[in-house]
This record gives sequence, structure tokens and C-alpha cells, in this order.
Amino acid sequence: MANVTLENVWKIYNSGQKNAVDAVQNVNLEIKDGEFLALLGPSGCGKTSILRMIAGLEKISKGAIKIGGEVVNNLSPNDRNIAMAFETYALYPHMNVKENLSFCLRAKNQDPAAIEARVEEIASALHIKNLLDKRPSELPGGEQQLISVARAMIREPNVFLLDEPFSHSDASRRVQIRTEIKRLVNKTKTTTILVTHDQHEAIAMADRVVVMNFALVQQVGTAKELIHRPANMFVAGFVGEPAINFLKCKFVQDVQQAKLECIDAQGTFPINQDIAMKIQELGLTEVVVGIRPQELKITTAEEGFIKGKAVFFEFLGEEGNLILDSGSINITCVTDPYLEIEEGKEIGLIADRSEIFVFDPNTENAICHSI
Amino acid sequence: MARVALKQVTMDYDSTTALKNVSFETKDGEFLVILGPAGAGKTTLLKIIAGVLRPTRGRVYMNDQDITDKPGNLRNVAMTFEDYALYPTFTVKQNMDNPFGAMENPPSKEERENKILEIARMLQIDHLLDRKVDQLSGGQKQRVSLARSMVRSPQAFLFDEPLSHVDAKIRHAMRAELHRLASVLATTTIYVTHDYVEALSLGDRIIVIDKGVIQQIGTPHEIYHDPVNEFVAKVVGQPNINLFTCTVKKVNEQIVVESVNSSALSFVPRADFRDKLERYVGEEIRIGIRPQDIGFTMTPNGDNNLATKVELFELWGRRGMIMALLGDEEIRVLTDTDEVINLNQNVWLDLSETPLYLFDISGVKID
Amino acid sequence: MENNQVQEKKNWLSIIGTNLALIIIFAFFLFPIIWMVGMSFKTIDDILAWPPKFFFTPTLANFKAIITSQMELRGVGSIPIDFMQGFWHTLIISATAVIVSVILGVPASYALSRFNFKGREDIAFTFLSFRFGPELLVIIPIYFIFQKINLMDTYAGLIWVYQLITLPMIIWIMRSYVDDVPVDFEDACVIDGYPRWRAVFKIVLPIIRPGIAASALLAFIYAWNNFLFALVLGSSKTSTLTISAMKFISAEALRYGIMSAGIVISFLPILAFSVFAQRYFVRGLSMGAIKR
Repeated sequence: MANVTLENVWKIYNSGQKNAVDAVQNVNLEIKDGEFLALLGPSGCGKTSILRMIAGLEKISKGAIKIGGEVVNNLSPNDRNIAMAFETYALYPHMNVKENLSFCLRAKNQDPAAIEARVEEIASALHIKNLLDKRPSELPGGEQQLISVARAMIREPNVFLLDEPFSHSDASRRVQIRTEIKRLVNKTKTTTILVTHDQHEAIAMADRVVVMNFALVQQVGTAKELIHRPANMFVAGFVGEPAINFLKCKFVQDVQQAKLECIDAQGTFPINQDIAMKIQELGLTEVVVGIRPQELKITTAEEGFIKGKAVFFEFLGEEGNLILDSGSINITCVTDPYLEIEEGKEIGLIADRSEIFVFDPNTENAICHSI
Repeated sequence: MARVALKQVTMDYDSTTALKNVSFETKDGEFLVILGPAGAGKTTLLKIIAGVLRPTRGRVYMNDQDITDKPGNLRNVAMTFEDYALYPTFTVKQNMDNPFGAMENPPSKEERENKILEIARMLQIDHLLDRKVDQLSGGQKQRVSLARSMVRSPQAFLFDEPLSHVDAKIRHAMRAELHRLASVLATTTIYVTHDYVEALSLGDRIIVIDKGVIQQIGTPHEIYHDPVNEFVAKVVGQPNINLFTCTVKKVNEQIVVESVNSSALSFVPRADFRDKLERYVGEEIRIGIRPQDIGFTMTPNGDNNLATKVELFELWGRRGMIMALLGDEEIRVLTDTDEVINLNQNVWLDLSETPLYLFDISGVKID
Repeated sequence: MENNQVQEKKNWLSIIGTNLALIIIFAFFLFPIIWMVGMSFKTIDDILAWPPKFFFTPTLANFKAIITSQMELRGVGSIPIDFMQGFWHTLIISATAVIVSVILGVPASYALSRFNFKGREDIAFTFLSFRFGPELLVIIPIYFIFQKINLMDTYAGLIWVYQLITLPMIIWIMRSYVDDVPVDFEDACVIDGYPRWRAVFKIVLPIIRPGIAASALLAFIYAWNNFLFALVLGSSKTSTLTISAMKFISAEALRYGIMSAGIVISFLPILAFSVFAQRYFVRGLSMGAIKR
């Protein structure tokens, strides 16, 4: 159990050469003791490099990483008391599950009875007791992942690192495995860092999420902060499913009321004067409005901020998705699964003004999170 | 446009049977989805319809004509493959042109060019026509694969997991595009996937298949609300449906359902289920409850409440997923809000208004 | 993500050590060849000189002798040498053997890869076993058979026997290549409207072309180098280079210089092909190594 700190950490590949690449740029993070943190982003954003630097599998180009207050830059992975579960499990194929789990404990010459007890304990915690005699190759991906996790956790590490652990698991088992891992980590209160490109996973498991893109940290926050107060268009678009609706709008200042008029859709948003002032201060004539599909409600064409024709309704079991054709773009709206609506019907969409975001189209940063 | 039918199709391999007595019939112009986990036999099924695989037993029909013995190159169906199967030594244009070369009376060079361009524009790949296939991204390859199947105006489209390699974020947009395409093409389509969201979204009807055996054929609503067995009930829905083995009891003339593993999970079922349950008093049955159908409060609210502690809480988009313990039984609940709920918090569940999915002890629906 | 365990500071010692080791290994393997190439440019006196002469005046006399098929003997005149004949014999026999093997072997490898029939692995293994058997083991029976059916000292006979060398190689390497081409490509082409045989020609063949080049080259080299079959089953009409080279070892003189020149000429074609097809070659070798 320990906190993890990253101070001005950089990772540069081929440093000093012509094809030098900044894989991670100036990351500063404070991960609290016992926290579950997710590093979320598309492939190549730098999240795995960060994880591997914390683990000690990659050299830190610049900056310092501290675990439990101690600078670990020059410590080998062995000396950092971390444990890692890999995307590909990396289980020893010639040993059975029990031997896999006890491997590192045996390597440290611990008392066999104690090892036995530890194996039982962790196997019960993850409900894999019935697999102890099997070989990894006999088991499906999901179970292999649990064993990989068990093997990592049996050492009672300070920090537990997970590298895209679910990419190769069957979809149906994924939730179960996630739950087992979360339960174990909660019980042992181990500081955990998860790398994933699946925002659903990050939101479900983590206390806080670090969203990354192109080697830079875009935003750090709880799931609610990322959903309700995204710092920029990338975060707004990456977190949340179905993806946020983006509408390009013209800024119009009428005598009494400032408005945002959609350019490629049919819609208008009234905005408060202080928002209007912010937009004017930034010298913008155009902005991007973002509204999450979950915030949009169906209303009449007259009352809605956005108007359009219903083109496609998806019944998805627990919810429904309605797709609206509004000019040259489609708008997605999450609805009750039993919605009945005629294809082609003209409807309006309205949303709570405190959940409508405005972004600067040049910097892509958020100007405000309510209008 | 065609009606495709299979009668008692079986596919045996040396050590396994991929398909067992599969029979179904599509309607003209229907978008039929075949849903099942990996290894269920879905690709085998498509290949048999396409004619590149011969079934061990059974017959294949198109428009009531037996085409089982007709070779694949004469069936005039189009198929897209999960790994796209784009010819690597050809450009995009050459890939799309390939079907023309096989025709007995191929259209003129000009007609071919026009058709290729028209379809390329429709799928927004017209700027890629001269590229070699290995320079394309996954999404582009998928469109090329689709385009190649469209140049011939086939009688039926067969899609093999077209979205499985597509990023989760784009899948949603691709579904809308597929839907639009399907209405433009207006051709009988058989679409194979393991993703139930795709199935519910796109299918006019869905065939649920497991280990080569058809489990159920029905509309999305039927599959979701009226599953014919436990497998079908589990295949659709996230979080997965809760399934409990319960005894039906009669207490003071009142039907009560109680889990065999835990007396803490015990409740009076909704009125419309009591008649069915009456027949099973004293017996064990399997009851399915969907997580979003469970009533949930932070404070006790009436007699029919069940007190539990929160074992695990996960944020699910804009809702919350709770795992709660009722004695030894774990139950998953999907709440309406995204308010974080702390672990070990006491919460109350209400199952009195919950729709129940009833199965007998072997997992088959009770009528 | 690459497993980047790069030491940022360069370790000079290990670099020098590695390169030194490589130089020594290369020297060990290449020395005989380099020396022999040297001999082909030396006069007989230089060749036999002791201590060995590393620096000398090169002469083209040996090459001249081979190519013009005449050797000058000091003070005596010239005698004919029919080395070049061997060159053509070898070329014709080896090339034809490989062509036959490709025509037979590629379809065979397709069948072994795509069709699941009884005894498939046994048949495949039988082909492979032809390479295990030492030539000495089979040479005597073949000798007698060839005598009986009048195939001794004929092109046809040698080309046929060379199949023992070339055919298994092509079949085994090409089988891996065909295995690597997903069946979906053919299926897609069939669904496009082509009968399967046309689908294979149109789609599969271009993809496995590098494999055919690589395995053909490999088979060609083995055929080119073959000694025993050519010796026993061939004679004047079909004597290959290997035999011709041997003729330079005669009772009265060991004509090192001319022999070396002859050997250099012998391996030039192979060298040229290898350099040309180098990138296909390595892939071809590794393809054949995939476990079945």
C-alpha cells in the first residue's frame, strides 16, 4: 500500500536522434494510497508507457516517479514492490495454476506452509480454487486473466498495475472478472493503476480517471467530472457512450438575447449574457456546442432547441437510441427502450441548460459547461 | 431479392459438429441477424448459404429452389468476411472490379467504371480507389469489403461480424450507417454477430444460436422479453440477467418465492405471475430478474422490501450498477441515477413489481 | 509497445567485442572460399608456394583455359578441357528438375493444405522422408533399374531422380505458404463468381509467388550441387559440373588453378540468383520451418 507520485515525467524514444518521439510529455500525477486510478486513452496516447515507467520496465527519460515517498527511478522492477497483470497474461505454460501462483513466493524461499496458505487465500478471494490443478492453456481467456491477477496480488504489492487486462476476454465474462478484481482490490486496499482504451471500463472501475491523448494528459478527474465537466472536446468525445453530439454554431447577439445558431443542423440555443461575454472576449464568431445523448429529451419541434426528423430508433434492451436527421448531421438521443415513434416524424430535442457545453473550436477547450 | 431457407442443415467435422439440424427461412427483403457466442457455428452457416462449404446433411433453398448442389460461384449472393478478405495484390478498384470479371456477359468497361464510382461515392471511399489494400485502415477496409459485395446487385447479402474489429466508439455510428444502407439496398440480408446490441439494433428478426443449435428465432422484443430458455435470456442484456434457483411456497394462501441458497431472497411475486407459479408450489424453478427491473431505495419503503448491503458499486454510463448480497445470493441491480453509492451501505430492494422470467429447472421457459 | 531496454549510455567494450567475434566467425567460414577464389587467379607456382602467398600478381589464364576449353601446358602445347560442357549439362538438368518440381509440387502443396483426406499427414511425411534417406542407400537399386530401362546417362533419367531432391523441398515450403493464405480469399473470389480453380489462379498464386521463388531457388541450389546421382547415373553425355570438377584430379597433376576457376564459374550463377532473390529467400527458408 503506497501512494504514487509522478513529477514532470517524460518518456522520449530515440532521444537525441532524428526520429525522437515524445511518447509522454510532462506528466504530473498524485495517486493516493489505496486509490484505483485508470489511465484512459486511444492506442498510442502514452498510457502504457506511463504504466511501464511506474513498473520499471521502461527508463524514465525526464522527471521522477515516487512510490511511497521514495524515488524509484533507478530501482529495478524487482525492488519496487509492484505487481503487474499483463494484457497477454504471461502465465508460465509449463506450470499449473497453483505453481504459477506460488512461483514468486517460492523464488523468495518463503515457508512452504505459509505459501500454501497464501495460495488458498487468494484463490478463494478470486473464486478460482477449482482451477488450481489445471494448466493455463486449458482455460479460457477470462480465467487466465484472473490467474494473472492472482499471481500479481499474491505478493501483496504496494502498487498493482493492470495493462489492458480485458482486451482478450470474452465479452460476457468481462463484467464478472472486473467485479472479482475490484472486490479483491477493495478488500486489500491496494493502490491500483489500470490502463485501458475502453472508457466504460475506466468509468466502472476507477475512483479517478486520467484521460490522455497524444502523450499529453487531457484531464484528471472522477467519472462524474469527466462526464459533466469535460475539459476539452477530446475528453467530451472520448468519455461517454453513445458519443457526445457536437454542433458547430454561430454566435449571434440579438438586442436582448444572445444565441448560438447551429450551422450544419437545425437548432438554436439561448445563452446567458456572461457566456456571451466570454465568447466575445475570446474573439470567437463560431463555437462548438456539445450535448450528451443522455441529456436530450424529446419534445415538439417548436419547443426544442434542435429540430429534425426521426430516422432510426434502436431498441437496445435497457435503453433506446433515437437518431435524428437534422440538416447535414445526425443527432443521437438516449430514450426509454419502449419509445414508439414514426420514422420521418419531425420532432424537437431539448436539454437541461446546465448540461450543455460550449467549446472553443480552435483550441478545443471548454468555454463553459452550462448555458 | 430472395428468400433464403435452410432445412435440417448439419455440418460435421472430424471432432466436432458445427451445426445441428438448423432450419429457418428468411422473409423477402428481411434483415435477419444471427446472434451467438464465438464458436457457435455462425460463420459456417454463412459459408454454407454462400456455397463455399457443403453441409454434411440438409438442404439449402433460394426462392424455393434447392440450391444445395449449386456451386458457390453461381449463387449470386455477396459475402463480407470478418477479416475482410480483400485481395492483397490488387488495388481497391481492382478488388471492386473482380466480380465483373467472372460474369458471362460482363458490362462494358465504362459501365463497370461508373458502377464502381457510384458505390465508392456512396461509401465514401472514392478517394481510395487506386490504393493498395494494405495501406488502408480497418474502417476503410471494411467499406471496401462492403463495396465489393455491392457491385453485383446480389440476391442476398451475407455479413460476417462486420463490426467486430471496429472501435467501440465508431460502432454506434456504423450501426446507423448500416441501417441506412440496408434500407437503400432493400435486399435480404443475413448478418452474423456476437454482439447483442448490434442484433437488437439492426435485426428485423434474430436467430440465437449456441454450439450449432438454434435456440430461438424472434423479433428483438421477443428475444429480450420472451426468451425461450436461460441461454437466450443471458445473451441479451447488460448487466446480465440475474438467475436464481427458487422454491415456490405458499404462505398463508400467499404465493412466495424463495431462493434455495438464501432465505434472505424471498418475496411475493407480481400479481400477473402468480397463476403460473401456482402450478409449481413446492417445486424448484429458475427465476430470472433483469437488473433494471429491480426497485431500489436508499431507505426502507414498505413491507415488501429486502434489506441488503452494497458489495460493489460501478458507474455504468449515467446509471449505477450495484452488486448486493442477500444472504449467500448475489444480485445485480441497475439504478436510474449516477449517484455514487458507498460500499457496505444499506439499501432496500423491492421485487414486488418486477417482471419475472420463469424457467423450469432445466432452463427452459415455463409457459 | 516495444520492449525498450536500451541503455542510454553506449557500452563501447561490448560493441568491439561483438564485432570482433563476428569477424572471427566470418573468417572461419569464408576463408576456404576466399582462398579458393584467390587460387583461381594464381599461377600454379603461386598456388604451390610455401609459405602461402597472400599477395600475388593475378592472372586470368585459368579462366581463359576453362572458357576456351584449352589449357596451355608449358612447353608442350595445349590440351582440350570440356568443363564448359558440364556447365550446360548442370544448368539444363537442374533447371528442368526444378521446373518439373514446381509444376507438380505447388498443386500438391495446395492439396495438402486445403483438403482434409485420409492419410494426409502420412503422405506429406513420405515426401519429406525422401530428404532423409541418404543417397548412397538408394543409388545401387536405382543404378540397376536405370540400366534396365535405358535411362542411364540421359537428361530424363537425371531430371527424374533429381525429383527426390527438389520435389519434397517445394512441397513442404509451399504448403506453409498456402496455409498462410486464408481460405477466405478464395471463398470471396468464388462468391464473386469465379469457379474455384480460377479463384486459386487469380488470387492465391500471386500471393504465394515469393514462396515459389524461394523454394525454387533453394531446390535449384541443391540440385546444382548434387554429386552422387550425377556421378553414378550419368556419364559423358550428362556429366555435371560436380563431375567435371572432379576430373581435374588426375593421376599426373592436381590442377588446382583450373579447378578453382571452374568452381568459381560454377557458383557464379547461384550467387547471382541468390543476390537477386535474396529477400524472398530468407522468408522462404523460414516458412518451411513452421511446425506442423
